[in-house]
Amino acid sequence: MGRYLLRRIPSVVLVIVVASFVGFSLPRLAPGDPAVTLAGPDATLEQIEAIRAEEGLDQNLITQYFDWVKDVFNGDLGTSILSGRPVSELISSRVATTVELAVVALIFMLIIGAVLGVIAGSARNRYVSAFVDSFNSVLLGTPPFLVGLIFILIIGVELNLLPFSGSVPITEDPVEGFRSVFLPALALALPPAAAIARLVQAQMRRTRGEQFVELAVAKGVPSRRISVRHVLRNSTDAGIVLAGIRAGELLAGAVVIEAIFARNGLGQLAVQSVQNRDYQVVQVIVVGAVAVALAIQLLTEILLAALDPRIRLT
Amino acid sequence: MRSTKPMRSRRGVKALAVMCALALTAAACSSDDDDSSSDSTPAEGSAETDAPSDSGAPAGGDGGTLTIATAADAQPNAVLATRAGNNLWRRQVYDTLTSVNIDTGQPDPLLATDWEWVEDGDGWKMVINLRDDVTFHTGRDFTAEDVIFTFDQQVLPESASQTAPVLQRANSWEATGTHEVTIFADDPIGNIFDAFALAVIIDSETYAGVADGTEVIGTGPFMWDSWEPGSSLSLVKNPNYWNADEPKLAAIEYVIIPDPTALTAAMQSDRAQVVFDLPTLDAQLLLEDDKFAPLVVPGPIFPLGMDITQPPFDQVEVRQAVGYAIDRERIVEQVFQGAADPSVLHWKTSEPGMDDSYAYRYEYDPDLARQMMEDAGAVGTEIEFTTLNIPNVVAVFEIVQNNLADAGFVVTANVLDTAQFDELQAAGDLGPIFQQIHGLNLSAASLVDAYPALRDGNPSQEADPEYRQLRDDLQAATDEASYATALQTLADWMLEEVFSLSVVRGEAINVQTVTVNGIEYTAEGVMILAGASLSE
Repeated sequence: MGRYLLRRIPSVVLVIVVASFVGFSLPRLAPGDPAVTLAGPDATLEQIEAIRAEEGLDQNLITQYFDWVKDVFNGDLGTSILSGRPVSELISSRVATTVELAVVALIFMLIIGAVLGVIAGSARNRYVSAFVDSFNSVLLGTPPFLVGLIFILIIGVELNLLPFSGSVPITEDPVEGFRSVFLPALALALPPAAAIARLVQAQMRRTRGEQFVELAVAKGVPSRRISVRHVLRNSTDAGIVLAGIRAGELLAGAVVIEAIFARNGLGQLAVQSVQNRDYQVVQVIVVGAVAVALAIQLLTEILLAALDPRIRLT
Repeated sequence: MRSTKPMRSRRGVKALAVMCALALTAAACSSDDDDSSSDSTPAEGSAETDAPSDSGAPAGGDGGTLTIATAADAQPNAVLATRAGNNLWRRQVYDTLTSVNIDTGQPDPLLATDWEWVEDGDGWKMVINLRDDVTFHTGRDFTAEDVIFTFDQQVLPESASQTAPVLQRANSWEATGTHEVTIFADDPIGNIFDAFALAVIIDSETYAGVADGTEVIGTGPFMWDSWEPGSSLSLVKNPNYWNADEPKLAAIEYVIIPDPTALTAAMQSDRAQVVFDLPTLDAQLLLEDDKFAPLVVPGPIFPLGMDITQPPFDQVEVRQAVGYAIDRERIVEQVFQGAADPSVLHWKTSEPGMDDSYAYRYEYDPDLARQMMEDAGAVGTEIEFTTLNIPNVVAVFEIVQNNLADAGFVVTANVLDTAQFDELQAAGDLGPIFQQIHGLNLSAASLVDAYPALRDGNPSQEADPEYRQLRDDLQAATDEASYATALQTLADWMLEEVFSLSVVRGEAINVQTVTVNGIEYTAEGVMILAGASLSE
């Protein structure tokens, strides 16, 4: 695995460099700049130009890019033009909320996806199978924000069972923290969980037709043992790949879920920064998101290789 | 076939299932526990980051913490300018020299005790006496030098202050005593109190820390405690406030929630006691619950501007036809659910000299509009209609777009994002016709130089010397009668020229719980919480 990781270093570096360039240039290609936001809606051109000069936004882009890269290598991610705060401070104050949401959602997604997939793939009762199939279809067709709104209305407002506005860090108060993250994480996890379940179900049905399963049946191996040891283990590959892909998407989905559950996480920071043309924050978030996606991809491949002896990391 | 190893995941699946069950049980149990005490604690839906435990209720007679949910974050780097987010906290942390009374329209003393314009040789001077019992939150005494420092900052372009042009009409200002400031000018500046309204008195020693919110020091009833940009702002009581009767609250928490649905949820969950920036419909739905009460404040105006140098709007008849083509009542009902005034004026209808004959001069008359368009030969003219992508503005824009099409224009919509629109607006380059939004609540004399739609360099390209003269006459008026006459003359001219008309003046319907008392507003629409309190 060490050699595999070493071989991946050049491509990882290349992707990060390209991401830094895209993350830097893309926000600047959009019309308007932070000076316009800082100056306000009633500003005159003179006021905008004065702020632009004060913030160094009138320098050429190449100089700004290399200044930023140099600062990053010195451990300085930059300063938000809008708030005047270090980008590292803004991100660190929010990252815990988003990671908390993404991790809990990931756990929910894996559990619910695996459980529903195994039930649907193992069920001999066609009514159970049809029910799980229908349930999965509904979840697949329901976007997380809609699930979230339904949760807010029913579980929050009507039944008053769980919090639905704001967040409490799990590290500060584990019980309140988990309660506050429960609904947003579940809303975020359900649709991708259904996709994983559908894949596991299909793979299990296919695996059941394999010769080694028939041999096990012929040898009199108990059906439960066949399901778990032979069928399920050989049906998880595609589910794991999809889970890896969906894990990356959880961060993207967190943007909307954070908004409707009023959780101030990285997603909200990204949206606000894009709207306000706060370049320094946007570029760091873009590169950070790419780095996280790369890490998840590498982890997925390593996990696949660990679970499936046929796959060799070279 | 490959060999199979003992299945580790069986145990794993069980463990995960147990974890999930435990989590659900914990959530449910905790919920049950809280249900039993929901009458005495913040309700179930609330979960605040870093919120103090007494949030939302008076605690131990200390006044309690008022929590305000708003979509607009603080912008301390624009502390001398009007910003939606700043209007909620600025007058809690800072004081001004005077405060224009929302009922009388006259300035009330605040840090200034009295003032007077007197002749000074060929010119005039305004002598302002200041309170001598005021200290900044650092403990330093407030003096006339702080007022001078504030004025010096306000007129810098970087301050982006909308009332800088008012102050720039003065020739100079000096500290003529420890607690006396004198402003020198060629003529009395009638609207100087508008400049004072935005000139919150800043501390010269710590001003460098204002921009990033690390050190925001004023003389106001509350002290700046902490700010997480885009997330929350905390203020705490100033125990040494010069008015011993204020403030009543122990602290104020502002939670920043950009999403309208989540703003509503913050109120429904009892996380906040006051909410701003709700869509009108959402506010009205919340108000169906008896535990909420409305908090109505003046909203923005929606000016419709036309570039008088571009055909067909270079013909005044076409511009007047547009005035008659707009169905303002429909906009009031459909966009604002009745909470708006279909006035064509850019300023308040309560300004001296204004009445219905000014406010509603262009009533909806599609037949007349069409006839005027035909007479001017403008029917079938293709126009690009520009606006910015803010929900209420776009809703107004869509109705106006239909009205323009009915009048005979072939309209192409051009909806820009806010930053792009603002930049073009500042450059005076919004195209032949455009829908704007402006939200200052100053006197007409100040607005004519502050609103992008009206000031020099406006995107209508209106630069007639007569227009400048009429504005100068208005700004030179020092008594109510002469001000009313000057404003009527200006309004008549503008309503004849029609380079810009307000489509409607909206009202912002905010919502508070009935437990909140004493929220006040200045005439400029700035919130005052010094006298606010919470009841059980």
